[in-house]
Amino acid sequence: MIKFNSKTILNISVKFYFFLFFIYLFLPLLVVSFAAFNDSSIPTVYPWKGFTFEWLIKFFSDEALMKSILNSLIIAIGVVLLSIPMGLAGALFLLSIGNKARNIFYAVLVSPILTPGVIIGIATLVMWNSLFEVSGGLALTIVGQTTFISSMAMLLFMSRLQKFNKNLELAALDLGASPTQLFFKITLPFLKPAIYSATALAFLQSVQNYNTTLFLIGTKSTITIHIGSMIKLGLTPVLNVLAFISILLVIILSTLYALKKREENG
Amino acid sequence: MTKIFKRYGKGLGIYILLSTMLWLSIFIIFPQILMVNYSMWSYDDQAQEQLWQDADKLDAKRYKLELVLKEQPQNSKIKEEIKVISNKITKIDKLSQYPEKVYSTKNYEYLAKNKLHRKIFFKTIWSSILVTLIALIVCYPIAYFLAHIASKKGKILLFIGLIIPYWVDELLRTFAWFMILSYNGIINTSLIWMGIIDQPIEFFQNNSAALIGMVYAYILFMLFPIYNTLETLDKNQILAARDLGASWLTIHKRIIIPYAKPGIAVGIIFVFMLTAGTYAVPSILGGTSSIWFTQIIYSWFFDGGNWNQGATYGLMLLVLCITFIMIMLKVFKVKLEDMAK
Repeated sequence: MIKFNSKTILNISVKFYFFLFFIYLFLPLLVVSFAAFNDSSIPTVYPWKGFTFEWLIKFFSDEALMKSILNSLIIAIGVVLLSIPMGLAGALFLLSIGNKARNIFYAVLVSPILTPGVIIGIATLVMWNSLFEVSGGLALTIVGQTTFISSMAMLLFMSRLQKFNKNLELAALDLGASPTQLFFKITLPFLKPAIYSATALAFLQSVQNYNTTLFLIGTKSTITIHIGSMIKLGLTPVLNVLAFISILLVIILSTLYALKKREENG
Repeated sequence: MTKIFKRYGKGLGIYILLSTMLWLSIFIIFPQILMVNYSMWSYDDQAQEQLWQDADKLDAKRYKLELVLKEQPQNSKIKEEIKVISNKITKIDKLSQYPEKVYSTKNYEYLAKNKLHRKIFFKTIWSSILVTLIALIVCYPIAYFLAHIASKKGKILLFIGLIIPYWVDELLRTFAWFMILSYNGIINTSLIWMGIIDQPIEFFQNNSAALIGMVYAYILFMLFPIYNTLETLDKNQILAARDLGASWLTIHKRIIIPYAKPGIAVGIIFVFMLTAGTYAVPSILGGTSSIWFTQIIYSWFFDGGNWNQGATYGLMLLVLCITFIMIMLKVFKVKLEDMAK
């Protein structure tokens, strides 16, 4: 009887703890979203002055905002195009060298993930500026972000490649396939899911990056830079509309992702 | 090296080698070397000052000679002299535009001697440790229960619930807390309404808002790694220990925590690194009296225009993070290679 009771108490307290944790995670997101539709000139949910679409309309007619979204998309595409092939090359390289060398190269190639974004921004800026007189802008931002996003892609490729069935490779070689054929007919198709998830990850990381971008963007703007300057100078509920839309997008994407993952796991 | 060509063929092998070396050198190593180099030199201000003084003196001399020339317009000697002085001045002007680089420990001494900056540097360390500890304490039970107690269906829902806030942009999440903690924000209005306080609390004037924002921004970076390792733990181990009479505390101490070590180490490293290196959170949630180290770095680059000093400060932050990572890998007896899993 006592055992049963303590189990129930544990069960209830665990549920309560989860409940509190999720309130903590979601309350801020709800507050930010609701304020997008409050008829108030500053972002707030209280006092509620009535429902309005005014800020939603203003959001879509905000040219500076739209331009910074476009810049973010350009940078993200550039980062994907650079970091996926580079991360893949890194993974293939690491898996085909000796153990000792692998540990050293691995540490260096993974180090950008463990480096604060601010430092990557500074180092990239200092090098390109002093050696090639390149100043901040979209191109330099792509370079800086690629530095660490390639490492993330590389890790995804490595974990996929570790599941690779070596017998497939041997069988193909026995049947007379050249190493190049082997790669394009067997390894690459096997890597397909990892390429998709690395692309999605690279895109998200690039669009959401702030610390590195801050040092490399120069006089241009991206979506995160625009958000940063909006909060400091000229805060209107247009920012809440942006938050609301991106939260909505994330909810859709997360649900799709989780459903797909469940399908994969059976 | 020959293994690469054997395995992937010539064309592909060359691509793999070139691409990896390019990434390694131009993207990762060279920028860091240049940053270190930048931190070690500074422009020679004194020499520049001297040059300016010289130029001023020559300028005064020229002015006097020009006055003389006005009285005796035919004096070719003076004309010649003015020409010589003018040439000298343009030479000095050019020199002073490109002051000499001097290698010294000056930039490091500046940080060591600046009381305020030193204080902020240590504040960054302590606050990052605090944020990391809070995240660990809150996340460990969540990760454990999520991995071992939740039903399969509940797990998917909870998982979606966790990745939504994880994927929402850091700045927008921080902005949410800006709304909640501001002078007329939800917390202040509800506390006043409940009669607990009668004056709004100014969260932004001390470090509290920034700390709250940092915990919120990075807590999930602690949760996911721990959850990932715990998920692979064989439940039978726990059951066996329980059957053998181990207490709840012993099971955690002897089985679960040792098993979760790599995940805990990754979580701690990421949360610390992200907190110590954050610019967004303190710049949104910090007031004028709660400056963060990254904000000083930023202002060296874009307000002060002293990149050398900025590079020095950046390097100190990097050294801090590397030291922290090394200590954690030692403490948890984890290798860098195990972390990727």
